[in-house]
Formats: sequence, C-alpha cells, structure tokens
Amino acid sequence: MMKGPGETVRDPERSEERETSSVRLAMLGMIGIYQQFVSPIGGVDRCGFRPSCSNYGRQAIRDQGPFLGVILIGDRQIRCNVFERPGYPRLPNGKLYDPVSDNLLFEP
Amino acid sequence: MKARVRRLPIVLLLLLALAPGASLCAEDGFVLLTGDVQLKIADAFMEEGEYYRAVTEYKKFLILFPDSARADYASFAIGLAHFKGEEFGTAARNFSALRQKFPASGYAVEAAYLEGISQWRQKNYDKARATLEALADAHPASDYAPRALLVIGLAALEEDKAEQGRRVLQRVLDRYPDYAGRESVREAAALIDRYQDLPEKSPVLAGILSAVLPGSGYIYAEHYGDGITAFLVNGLFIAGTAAAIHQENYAVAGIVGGVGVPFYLGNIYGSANAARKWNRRIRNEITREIRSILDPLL
Repeated sequence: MMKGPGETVRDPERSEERETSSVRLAMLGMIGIYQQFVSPIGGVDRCGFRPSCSNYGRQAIRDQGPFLGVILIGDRQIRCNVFERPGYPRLPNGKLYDPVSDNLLFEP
Repeated sequence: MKARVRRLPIVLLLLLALAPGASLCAEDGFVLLTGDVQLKIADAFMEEGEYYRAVTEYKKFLILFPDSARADYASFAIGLAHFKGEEFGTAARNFSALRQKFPASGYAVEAAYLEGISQWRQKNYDKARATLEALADAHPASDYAPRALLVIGLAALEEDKAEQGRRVLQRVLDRYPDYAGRESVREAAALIDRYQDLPEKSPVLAGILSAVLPGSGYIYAEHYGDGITAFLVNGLFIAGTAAAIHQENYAVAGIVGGVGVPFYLGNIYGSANAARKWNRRIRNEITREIRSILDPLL
C-alpha cells in the first residue's frame, strides 16, 4: 500500500445520512432499544456473526429499505443457529464474517 | 602561457564534472542537483517501497527537468509507484497520460499493459479489455501481447463469461505456438472446459422449495443446519397462527402470523441466496485454481 496520504475512499456502508422515512426510523429505533437495553443482559456476546445480527439488521434497513431489510433480518435470524455454518470467512476473533452486501440476491 | 593559465579553471571544472560521483557531492559539501541525482533519489525511495515519496521525487524531476530525455521514464515510474502502492485508479490515469504524451516511448507498451492490469484490478472489466485488446492488436510481437490476452481471459472468468475466457486462451495457443507458458495456458483452458460443465443449484428452485416446505430450499443448497432451523422456526409460527385461528383468537393469530412473516419470507430469500452462494463458491474455487496457474505468466 502507498505510504502517505492516498486517495480518500468513501465507504458506502459507513455513510451516515440523516434518516427521514418514519418506518425506517421506527425500525431503527426498535433495534436501538434492543441494543441499548436487551442485548447487554448477561454480558455475553451470543451472536456468532460479524456484523452482529442487530448491527446487520440496522444496516439492512438503512441501506435496503424496510421491506427487503426485514426479509434480510428474517434470513439472518434463521442462519444464526447452533449448527455448523460452513462457507463463511472466519475473523481473528472467531466470528463469521457475513455482511449485508454478501447476501443481496440482486446486486447493484 | 597566459592563455594556458586562463584555460586552467575551465579544464578543472570539466574534470570535476566528469569525475565519478561529482554530480552527487562536490568536494566542499554542496550537492549539485542534476537530473540523474533527482532520479537516483526517486529510484531509491521506490526500491525501499516508499512509493508516495518516490512519486513526489519523480514529480520534482518532471518540474525541474521538463525537457529531459528521461521524462518518459519519470512519468512511467509515477504510474508504477501508484500501481505498486495498489492505487490502481491513479496508476491507470498516469499510464494513460504517459501513453498520450510519449506515444513513441520505450515504456509505452509496458504502460499500456499495466494500465490494463490496473483497470482489471479495479474490476473495470470493459476498460481493461479495451486497453489490453488494443495492446495485443497493436504489438502482437511484444512479450506483453500474450500476457494481455491472458488477463482478458481471467477478467472474462471473473465476469462469469467462461466461454469468452476459453476463446481468449485458445487465441494465445493459436497465435503464439512458441510461447513459453503454453503448457500452463493449455492446463488453464482444460480447467475452463470443466468450469463450463460445473453443476449448478437453481436459486429459483431453492426459493420455491422453501415456499412450499420451509427450510427445504436451504437443504437443497446444502445448508443443512439452516434448513432444519428454518423448518422449526416457521413450523412453530405457522402452527401457532393456525391454532389461534382454530380457537377464533384472531388478534393473537394476527400478532403471531405478523411476527412469523419475516421469517417465512427470509427463509425463501435466504434459500435462493444459499443456492446462489453455492454456485459462486464452486466457481470461485475453480477460478482460483485457474488463476494460480496463469498468475506466474502475468
């Protein structure tokens, strides 16, 4: 890689634009409440994926809209199970890497 | 005698200029910045992998010595530094600019090749194909021509255009009978033939299967754990909704059914996606194999 100030690359998954859709806001709010108050109970990181299911859901709704977002969440919830899950790259922390962009049937 | 004394400083200056290393460091410690010195500094940074600094020094050379006969080398090296630094967009732009400014340069062909590679690495397949095809057509006798064709073939494979990739490899075999990497190309071509006959899982069929019997599409795509989970989760929601309807408890049926809908739709969507991923995985494995064969030739 270049040592020095290179090109600035904008990561679309990190773009934080102000949300205006009320449905999206409500869904993101619910996920936020879950992350704030429910998820920390027990202090155990239960999700075997990265991004975690709640972060995945947040990203899915923000980037793909409420309809496809909810379907993507449903799919992820099914896949986040106790069985062996082959085919995902394993991260150094032992979690399986499964971003939203890997699960889009109709890639842009 | 007087004339000889007057000529002495000129002779001394000439000797100093011709002495090895004189351009780098004079006796009294000052540095005489010539084009060669500037390029040596830039090359040193390049060799150390300090590509950003190397670019600065090559640019300095172009500013200080714009009419130098080695301006094409400096322009090429700027592109190369960006290329090695994996800034492929900037590299491609620099190589393109070099080819426009110095079309007759000895670096023009290599620049065209590296421009094509940069575009390929950016997954800008159409541009890469155009650049490399033009190179292979314009300089068929060059070492870079067969290499350019191999890159076109690899790009076609990455785009899932196996037939096109196979045709390009055949062109290499037909056009360059004495090519050193002929055996590897033939091996890669045989693998592409296998690639074209690979088994496939239909995402549509997987989706339909999961719509009829939740989880069966995942199992079809060999995601057995996900299939069992989808069957159990959807089974519970469907059974709960059906029981509530049976008891005429429509509010509960609405709530349980409403919560269950995303899981049902997710199971259909996920099954189709699992089949797509299965196809992609199988193709990626063979593409990687082909690439490992052709990479040493690039």
